[in-house]
Amino acid sequence: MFRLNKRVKEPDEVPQKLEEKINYKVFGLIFAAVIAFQMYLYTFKNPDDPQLSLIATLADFITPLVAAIAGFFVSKRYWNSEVFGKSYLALSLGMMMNAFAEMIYYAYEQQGQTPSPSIADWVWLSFYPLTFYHLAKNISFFKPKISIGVKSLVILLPILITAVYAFLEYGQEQAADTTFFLGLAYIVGSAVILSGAILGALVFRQGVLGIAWLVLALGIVLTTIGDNWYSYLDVYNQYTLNHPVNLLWYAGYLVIAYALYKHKKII
Amino acid sequence: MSGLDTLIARSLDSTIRENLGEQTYQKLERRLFERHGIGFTQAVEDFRKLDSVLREFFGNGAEGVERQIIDKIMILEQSKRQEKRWITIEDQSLTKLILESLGDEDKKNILNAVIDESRIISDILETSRIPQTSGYRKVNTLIQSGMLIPEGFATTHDGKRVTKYRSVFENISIEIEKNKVIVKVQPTKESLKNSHIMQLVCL
Repeated sequence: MFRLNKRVKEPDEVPQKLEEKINYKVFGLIFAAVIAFQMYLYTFKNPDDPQLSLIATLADFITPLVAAIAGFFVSKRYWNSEVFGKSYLALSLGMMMNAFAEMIYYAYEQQGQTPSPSIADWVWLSFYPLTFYHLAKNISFFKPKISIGVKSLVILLPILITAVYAFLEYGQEQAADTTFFLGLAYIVGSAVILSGAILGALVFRQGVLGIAWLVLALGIVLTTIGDNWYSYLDVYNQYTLNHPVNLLWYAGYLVIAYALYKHKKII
Repeated sequence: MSGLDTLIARSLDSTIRENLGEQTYQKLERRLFERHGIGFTQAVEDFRKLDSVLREFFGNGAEGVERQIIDKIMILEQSKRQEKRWITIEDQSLTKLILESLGDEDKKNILNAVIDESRIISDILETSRIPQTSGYRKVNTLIQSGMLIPEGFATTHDGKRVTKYRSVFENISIEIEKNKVIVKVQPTKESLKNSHIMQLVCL
């Protein structure tokens, strides 16, 4: 007698609404990893220890590289498309530039030359226009018309951040020299992309892609806070290789990599 | 479905692939099938369903996608009087379709016969003096391409209800600039009002 041994598979139910959730375990893992790494850096008593410099530089190099590789995968997926293909390539190139800049900076340090201002700064700064291109390309495609209220907010936020920095920096240094303008360039760049990332998250917020953009905005917020904090530390000469500001950069890039993974999974 | 939507639908498919990529296209198509049981081509013709799926993925960004897609196909000129707006056709296949329809003497006569008022097919053929056999074929081609749209009914002497048709455009202008043929059309008030795509995107 024929017996049906295999269990008849229940048909999958089609969801009425697409849902995508943030996996908070991933965030937990990222933050636990970077905090553990920071604890490890604290074990070095001498902040000028060459081994500390090497380990910190490696971490500074690897984290944006991970995000850049994730970006290349996303860009490859949409290679022929006008918006996604080009914009994600620009974003991943921007993060690749950050990784390269770390190595250039380290090379300058090892040769006993002044690492900043140097070519490393230009490579670092190229991250901002490339990321801005990514944000602008997506926002202009998906939201060509933006309300005056949102526009004002997006313009005022970087102006405010820049003004506060310029006021504090000038108050401390009392001179508008190369260091002042270089610091200002970082602040302007990071403040502008922060604004763009928030706008992007607002544009997509009601769709599933909004999750990926929210995570991306969070990653950019973390790196921007890191950039701003570093600039203030630099003004008051308080930055060290094992300063907790590094946590924000490491976590920021890893969160961006997670956002890119999310994007690839969603669409 | 509005005639204007049929015309636009001919070009939407390729434009979505170009802008959003093949993978995105497939993902959208899969979701359309899951949710509405239709393929992409049918969804393009039923723009509200496509809009709902685009919104599921892109949220408010769907509006931008739709606008960009339409802009690649046509440019709606700004005018205070919404119903008197001219549309410049950007899409070459759509331009070709309109020019071919106007290049055919019989089709041009058919369109001229229904430019101001809607008529039943036999009336159209009589007014434009076209033989029945080839006339029906050409009218059907114009209906399928969206150049003729149904508008009301007429009752024949034996009591049958017969559909009346009207041209989707009130005016068509053809300009030649260097090597480029520019086709501008002025849709009828009704076709603009009945177009889901135009309602969602342009108005």
